[in-house]
Amino acid sequence: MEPSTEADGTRWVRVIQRIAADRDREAFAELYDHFTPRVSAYLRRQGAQGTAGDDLVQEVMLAVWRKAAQFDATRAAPSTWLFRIARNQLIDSLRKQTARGGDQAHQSVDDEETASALTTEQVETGDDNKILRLMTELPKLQNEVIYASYFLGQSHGEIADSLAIPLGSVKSNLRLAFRKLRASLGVEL
Amino acid sequence: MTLHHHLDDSTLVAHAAGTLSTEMALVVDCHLEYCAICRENLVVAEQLGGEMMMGLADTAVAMSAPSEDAKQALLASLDDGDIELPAEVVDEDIDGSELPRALVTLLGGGLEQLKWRSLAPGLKQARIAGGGDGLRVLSIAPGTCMPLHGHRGSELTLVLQGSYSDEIGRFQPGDIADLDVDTEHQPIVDRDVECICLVATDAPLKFRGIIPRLLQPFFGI
Repeated sequence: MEPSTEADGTRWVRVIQRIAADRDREAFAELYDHFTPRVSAYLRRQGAQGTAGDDLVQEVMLAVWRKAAQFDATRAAPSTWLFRIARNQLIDSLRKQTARGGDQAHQSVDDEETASALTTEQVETGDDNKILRLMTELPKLQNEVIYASYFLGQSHGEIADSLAIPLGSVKSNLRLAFRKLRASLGVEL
Repeated sequence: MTLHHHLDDSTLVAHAAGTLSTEMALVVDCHLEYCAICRENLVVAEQLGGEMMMGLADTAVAMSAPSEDAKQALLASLDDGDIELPAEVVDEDIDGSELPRALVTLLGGGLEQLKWRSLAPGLKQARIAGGGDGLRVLSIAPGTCMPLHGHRGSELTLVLQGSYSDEIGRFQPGDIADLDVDTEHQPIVDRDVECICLVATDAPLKFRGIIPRLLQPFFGI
């Protein structure tokens, strides 16, 4: 996979714009090939497994087709936009399950995925994803709370329970980790 | 609009990651309508999510790749006319005299839609139909001094009208109190008008002392 460099970002901006303006199916297939495995890996880590997980992935990509005209390159990078759509579809699907009384909202993830922090092995070698590399360099607890939030979809309370630390520590570690990661994105503190 | 009290970074991360309760997420969305600073921070938190999603290791990604059949089925189902046009982008902050649109939508109107129930002298509460158990609106009479209390879980309090002051500062419309669990505070409503707040909690408030403990059942959460 190509690194998510700025030039790469610009390429996907143009692809999304072609999908929006021309309803370009080739452009959509190109975007699908690049992003779907990532979207799918993200949703699986959040517990969307099996057929329901497969369906959710397709719903996300269909939403991308529908919402392409809403993409605004001045407001978000393509990966941010895709992440938002995936997250919103996940929340919708969890709420529907809850409304139906199902208790499958948060299935436990399988063995391979139960790691509680991001390790260097999980990060692509030779790529320049600065954020993930920085995560592996964070103090263990900061890495764990970020990982639990974004990859396991755990609330502050659930993180406190699973790591057996006070809620206040969850929040303070998230704050510290967020500040470091934000600084690495070049955003002023 | 210049606000003095913002969302904690840990709350923004939870919102970006999609892990807040529905009630907490609504109160966050309401504050965001007032606050460009928190909106910018949220984009950063979402950007982190996007970067993390894109950086997942190839092995995990390869295992998650959808089948060629799934891809072809989706491509075949695409409809050119199936397009959602951009909603009008609202980037202007609402000011303190307006209610957040997310709240108006949920209420189906303004605060006159609420059915108030008196909890104690000077203190009224209303639930919002369809808003969830952890969501309520409090109306506190001018000059009322609330009992000193801490919080076991997370609580978000957004001022909608009026103002109050506590150990942390003065909270006016649009300001949000996103307090840490160990923070105890004793809000006093400013003298001129009643203070109306939108509150989301995910654990019972805990009051200190005998009288406050008697009050606790009235808070009903």
